[in-house]
Amino acid sequence: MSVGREESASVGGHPGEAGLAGPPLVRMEGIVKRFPGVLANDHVDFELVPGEVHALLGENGAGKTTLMNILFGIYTPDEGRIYVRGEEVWIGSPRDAIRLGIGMVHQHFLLVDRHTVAENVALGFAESQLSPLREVRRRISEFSERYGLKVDPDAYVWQLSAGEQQRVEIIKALYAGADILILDEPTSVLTPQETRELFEVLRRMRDEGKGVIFITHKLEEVMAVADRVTVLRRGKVIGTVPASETDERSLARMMVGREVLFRLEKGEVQVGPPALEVRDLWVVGDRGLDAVRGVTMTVRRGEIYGIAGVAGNGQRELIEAIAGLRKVKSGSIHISGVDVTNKSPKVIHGMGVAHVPEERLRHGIVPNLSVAENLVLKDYDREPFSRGVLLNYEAIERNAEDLVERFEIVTPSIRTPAKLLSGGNIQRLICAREFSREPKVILAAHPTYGLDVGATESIRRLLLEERSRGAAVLLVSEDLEEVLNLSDRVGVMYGGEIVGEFRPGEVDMEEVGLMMAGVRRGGSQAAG
Amino acid sequence: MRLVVEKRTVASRRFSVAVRVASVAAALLTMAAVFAGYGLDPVRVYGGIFSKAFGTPVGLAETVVRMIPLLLISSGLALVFKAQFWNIGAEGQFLAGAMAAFVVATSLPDLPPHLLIPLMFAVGFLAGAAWGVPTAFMRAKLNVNEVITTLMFTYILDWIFQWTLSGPWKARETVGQLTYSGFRHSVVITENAWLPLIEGTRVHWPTLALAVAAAIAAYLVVSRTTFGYELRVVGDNPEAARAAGISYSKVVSVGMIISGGLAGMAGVGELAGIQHRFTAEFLTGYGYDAIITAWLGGMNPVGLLVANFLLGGLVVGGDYLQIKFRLPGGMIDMFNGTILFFVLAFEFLLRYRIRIRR
Repeated sequence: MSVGREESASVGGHPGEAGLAGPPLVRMEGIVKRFPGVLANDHVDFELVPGEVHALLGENGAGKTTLMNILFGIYTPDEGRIYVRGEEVWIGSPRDAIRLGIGMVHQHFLLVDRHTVAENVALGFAESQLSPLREVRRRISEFSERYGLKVDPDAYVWQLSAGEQQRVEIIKALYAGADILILDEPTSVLTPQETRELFEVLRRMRDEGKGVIFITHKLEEVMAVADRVTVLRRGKVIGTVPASETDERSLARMMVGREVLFRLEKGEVQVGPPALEVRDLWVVGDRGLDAVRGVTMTVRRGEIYGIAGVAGNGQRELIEAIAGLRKVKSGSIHISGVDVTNKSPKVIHGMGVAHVPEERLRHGIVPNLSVAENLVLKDYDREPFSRGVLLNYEAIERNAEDLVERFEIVTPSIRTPAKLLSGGNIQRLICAREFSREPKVILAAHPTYGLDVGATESIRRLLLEERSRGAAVLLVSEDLEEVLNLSDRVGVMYGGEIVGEFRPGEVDMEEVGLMMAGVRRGGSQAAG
Repeated sequence: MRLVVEKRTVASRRFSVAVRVASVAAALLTMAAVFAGYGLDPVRVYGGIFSKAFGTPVGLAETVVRMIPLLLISSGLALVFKAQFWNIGAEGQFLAGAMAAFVVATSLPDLPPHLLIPLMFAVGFLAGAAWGVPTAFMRAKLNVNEVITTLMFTYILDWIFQWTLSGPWKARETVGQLTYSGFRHSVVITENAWLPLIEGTRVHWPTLALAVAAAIAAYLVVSRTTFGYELRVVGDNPEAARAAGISYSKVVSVGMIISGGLAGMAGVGELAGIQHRFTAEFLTGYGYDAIITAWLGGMNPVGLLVANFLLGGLVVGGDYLQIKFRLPGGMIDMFNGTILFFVLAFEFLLRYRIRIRR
């Protein structure tokens, strides 16, 4: 597909299936939104017609979520017009949006844990104060039936899986009368089966003439469920095309602006001695229950061991225990044969363990400190970055200049506060800090979560380079494809245990999905 | 037309200075209205304060006298505030330092000044630190909010102090053959413990030198040392600090040793340089006023010097107001409170931008 074709396709291309009559459900014209230093939306045009699933595709920071937050009234646009069902509207708050029949399911669910599903749905609807739960329950069952949104109205939210909580969010939106539904990266917390079920729900809603906007950066999902795709890059619309007339390759090119490697070159690496050995590890989670239940694993130098699984099955606690951030209840952790069980994070880091933490903003960087200062977060008290009690800014800045260049961190200057960097560059900063000391063991938790295609590719390549250098990499990710593509061996974690271990290619996706859902144990016991 | 409030990612240096100046100006305007309500001409009142505090050599010297404890205390506060640890109990740490120095001076009255005075400052530092550090422990180990504990510790010590003045430390005075104890004040400490003054003023220059050194040192510690780095990391992102192996309890404890210690030294200076004995009115609120100047001055020695000099002048001007215009003494507290209120309220502008659209 030529570039010219892409541009001419802008706001063109109609959905294949239902509902061409009448005005579009939503038309956004010339939307401009500026944040300090950033043009998040640059004269964006967008259209949603009844009876379509419209994917909004783009890298992180492309402006997808900003555009949808404007439609849902969380931000107000600096310029531009919004029409809903043909009428120009001003959406000043989510309340306005809901009144216009717009619903949004955010990436992070907004539910009250200690209340039941029905109570959560009833919250916020004034009319249900008189006829409370019976009516709500009835309508929940009705929605469940009609769209395949299976959920028990009397279950407590804390008992629900992420997939079920998402269904509750969708029901909440439907209950409020939404026929325009926005989903912000809805599949990031789902197993493959749950993802398929969600897509089925979206198809049923489309067939009823509702409009669904689906924010994503995953190409295969676009191809699986969308009728049309609008691609954003750096705040601008690159084009709108029917999904049936495009393919993943050309979408990726539109999204990134250049060719993208889909298959990473993964060379053969001679596997070395065990670097990380975990024996019968038990770790208590935040709620006081055992989150890791007897995990045993060995990761050798030159090997990537991937842990697949839905979030909340003990992955976080496992990584934190190895990094020294969480107490081990029983069992042992050895690094290169040395027992480090319950040692401090500093000691463990000193043993050559690098940690790329999940929630990189919360655990990985100090937002108001400069890029240079962040790059020595783990080594500020060592030569040459300090002598005695004094910091050596000359060495700190030289180190920063070197790492910024080597790891291709895009930053205005090494003195820029780290919080002003994009997600991908923050992750590159963390990798630069963690990998530059040639660690023996790398703990990488969701290293590409929320990153755009370009940044994802570069982070994955970094991990593979570290593997070639001889690091033992423990990779936790919810992105199953990532785990299968990068890992030499894969363990599936469910309920705090490794319920299956195999080499990629030995087991099909279906099987892996069932293990992730805790339905089946298995896989060949791949030798360590 | 609607007001839009947005998060501001960075505020330029010039803008932050402008906001601070504007906040003080807004406070002065508000107080002008209060003065007018008393039937006074605000221009005359402010003119009076200004000329009294800054216009004459005597007034200037008095302003410096008030600036000394403020500068010393606020240097420590600005440092520990960097770790987002809110020590609002400097008043108690100030008193702890003074009380410890009093014990030293009354137990070793014959020690020559060049030994006694340094010893008093050293012991005062330790006492101030000792009164501050438990709050850091309680925060780090038991997760007890330091805003509560630092303030409560001040009340505890203040009541102990009030009791000693009515009991063990109450001076017995001898007139002829008669020994009696009447007023609630202590004995005057030995002259060996009195600080030297700048000729013709009450400026006790050793403490002044300490205060200026403390302001500069605090700045250097925060910006140039590994401990300062740890302070900033803990203050900005405690989670990342933990992951990097920086101990929260160590950082805030050392921070409180410095902050409490400097407040303690300020107490020593006040006792040995000005008061020479304890009365029930020994505490005048320097520990609280220094919170204002620590905020206004930021972590910058020049900023601290300017803010404390101005507030010192305000205190002097306030005394003058009471005498000249017969305003109630509470007026000065109100004045200071108004300044703090506006300084904190204007912080909002440093974090958010407000725009008017359509």
